[in-house]
Amino acid sequence: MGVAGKAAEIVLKLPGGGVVLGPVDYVLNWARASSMWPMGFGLACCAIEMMSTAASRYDLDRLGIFFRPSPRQSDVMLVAGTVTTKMAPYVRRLYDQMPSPKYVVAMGGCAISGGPFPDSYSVVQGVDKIIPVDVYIPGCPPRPENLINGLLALQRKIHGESLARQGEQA
Amino acid sequence: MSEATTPLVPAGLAGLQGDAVTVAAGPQGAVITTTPERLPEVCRRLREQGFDYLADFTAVSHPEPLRVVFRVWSTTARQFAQVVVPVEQAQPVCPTITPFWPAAAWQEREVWDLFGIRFAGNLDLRRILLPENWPGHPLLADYQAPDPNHLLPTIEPDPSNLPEGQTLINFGPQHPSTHGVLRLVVTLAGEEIMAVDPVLGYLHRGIEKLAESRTYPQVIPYTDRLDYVSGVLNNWPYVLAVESLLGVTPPRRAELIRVILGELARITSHLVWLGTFANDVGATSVFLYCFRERERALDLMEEVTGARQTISFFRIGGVPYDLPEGFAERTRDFTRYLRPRLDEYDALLTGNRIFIARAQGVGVLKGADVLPWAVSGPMARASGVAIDLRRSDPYSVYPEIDFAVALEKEGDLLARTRVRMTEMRESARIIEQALEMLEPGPVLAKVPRQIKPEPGAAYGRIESARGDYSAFVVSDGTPKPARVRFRSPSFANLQVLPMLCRGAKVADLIAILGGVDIILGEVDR
Repeated sequence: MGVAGKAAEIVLKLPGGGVVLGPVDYVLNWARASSMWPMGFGLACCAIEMMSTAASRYDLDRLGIFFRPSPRQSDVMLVAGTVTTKMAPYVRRLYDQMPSPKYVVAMGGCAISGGPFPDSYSVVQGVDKIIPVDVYIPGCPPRPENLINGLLALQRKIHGESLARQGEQA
Repeated sequence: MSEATTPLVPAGLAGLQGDAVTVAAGPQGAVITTTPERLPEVCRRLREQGFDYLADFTAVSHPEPLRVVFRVWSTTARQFAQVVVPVEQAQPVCPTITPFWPAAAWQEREVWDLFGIRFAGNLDLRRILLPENWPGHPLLADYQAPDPNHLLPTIEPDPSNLPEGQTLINFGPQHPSTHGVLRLVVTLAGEEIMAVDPVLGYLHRGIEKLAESRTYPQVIPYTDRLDYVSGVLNNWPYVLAVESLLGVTPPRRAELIRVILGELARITSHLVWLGTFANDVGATSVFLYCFRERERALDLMEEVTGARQTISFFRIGGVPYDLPEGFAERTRDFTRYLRPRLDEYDALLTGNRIFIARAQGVGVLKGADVLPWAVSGPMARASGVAIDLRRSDPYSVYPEIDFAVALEKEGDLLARTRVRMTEMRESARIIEQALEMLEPGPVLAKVPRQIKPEPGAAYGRIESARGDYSAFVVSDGTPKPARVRFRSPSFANLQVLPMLCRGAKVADLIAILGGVDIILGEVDR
C-alpha cells in the first residue's frame, strides 16, 4: 500500500511526462526486490542451510522469496555449495538459461573462493570464475540469518538499479 | 572393538598360506597379502569361509608399492579379513573381484578413476567420479593436477543408438528431486523405465587427496562435509581409526557425549530425509514439520559447539570441551517434544492411503540382494537384514545401551519409512539413557601435542544415519596421513538403484531415489 501510494505521489509531482522514468524504476525495483525467485539449486552442505532458511523457522516466503525448479522462471541463482570442475559447465549453462535481469548470490566459502578446498584438483576456486556474482555470503555454511542478510543486501542492490537506463545503454 | 574377542587368523584362512600368499594376524583381523594372479583363488576361499560382505575396497599409492586393499566381513562370524594386493607400478592390472562380491563393481571403477588400476574382467570400467576426458589419475603420489578453473567440454549421452520407441531422459544434475547434484540417465519405453545409469562426481571435491596434505587433526572438519546432513557422525569413523593407530582410548564421558551428539545428528538426518521424501511423493507440509523439529535439535548442537550443522566436535581422544550447564534437561525436553510429533507423522504419512499407494510395493530390494551388494543401514534393515553396526560390530558405549534394531521385511519404500521412523524413536531412547549415564570426568584423553602415529593402517567403522560408514587411515610415521579413505554407505546403496528402478514407472523414480537417502557429499567425496 505504502510504496504504491508513494510512487503515485512522486509521479504527480513531476512536471511533464518525459521524466517519469525515475518513478517507473522505483515501482519496478520494488516489485523485483519483493519477489526474488531463486532457482532451487543445491550443490552441497550450504543447500541444507538454504533449505532450513526456506523452511518453518526462517520462512523465506515472508520476503517474497520462493524457490522455482527451473532456471527459466528464476531471476536469482543461489550458488549454495562447492562448484566442482565437473559441475561448472552446467552451472554456467543454467545461468545462461535464466532470463535477464538476473543475479547471483555466492553462498558460503566454496562458492566465494573454493572454501576449505583451496588446493583441490577438482574444485573451481570460486563461482565468480565462471559467472558474475552480486552478493557474497561468507560462512561454512552461513547461518540462515546470514543468508537472509545477504538476500536483503541483494534487495538493496536491486533498489539502487535502473532498468530503464540499463535499456538505454544496451 | 569386537576383534579382540575373535581369533585373529581364522583356521580356514591359515591354509591359504603358501605360494605368493601370506596370512598375518592383525589387531583388526587377518591380513592376507597376495599377488594379482593368486587373488581369484584367495577370494574364492574367503567366500567359502563365510566372508559375505565387502566392507571396503580401495587402493594405496604411497608409501610404495601401489596396492589394492580391501576388507571383507563375515556377517555370521563377525570377523574381518583384509586383503592386500601389490600391483605393478607402470601398467597396474588386477583381476576383478565382482564374481565374488558384486558390490565391487563401482568400487573398482572408482579405483580405476583415481589410481589408474585396471580391473581385468570388470565389464564396465568407466571413470565414475571424474569426467571421462579428465587427464590422469589424481590419487597417484606424483599426480600433476590441471588448473581446476579450466573447464573441460562436457560429454553428453548419445541417444542415437536407442531402439525404436525408447527415449533417453536426463534427470539432473540440476533437478529439484535429485537431492543434490546427481545425474541419472534414464532410458524409457513410454512410462516404463528400461535402464538407469547414475552419473556421479558432480560434487567430487577430492577430500581424500586433500587429507594427505593436512595434519591428522586438520582432517576432522573435512569429514563433516562428506555427509553434511549428519555432520558429526562423519567425524566418528575417522577419529576411531586414528585412535586405534595411536592406541588411545577416549574417556567414558567423552564416549557418552559422542553418543548423544551422534544420535541427535541421526535424528536431524532422518528428519531431513522424511521431510524431503514426503515432499518427493507430494506431501509438502511434512517438510515444514520436519524442519521445525530439526531446528530444535540444531539448537542443542549449537549450544554445545557454536555451529549448527557441520559441527566438527569430535577430537582424536575425545571431545574438546564439556557440555554446557542445563544441556541434559533441555535435551530431555527435546526428546519429550519429539515423540508425539513422530506419532503425528505416522498419522500423516504411514497411515495415509495416498502415501501408502505411492510407497507400498515400490522399489523393492530383496533381502537376498542386500549382502552381495553391500547395502547397509536403513536400506538393509527394511529388507529384513538385521545388521546395525551399533549391535553387529559394536563400538563406543552402545553395548551398555538398551535399544531395538529397527527391522521390516518388505523391502519397499514404506518399510524404509517405517525403519527410519523407528530409528528416530530409538535414538531418542539412546539419548535419554546416555544422559542418565553421564558422570563427571575428563572429556579428552591425553594425546601427544603433535599426532604422529607409528607406520601402519587402521579402520574405524560406525553405523551412520545411512549405514556402514568406515574410514581407513594409513600412517607413514609423519604428522600427515599417507592415505585417508572413506567408505560411504550412500555410494554402496546407490549402486542398487538401477536394479530397484527397472520396470518401474518414471513417476516412481523420484520416490525410489528418495527412499535410498543419498547424500552426494559422501557419494562423491
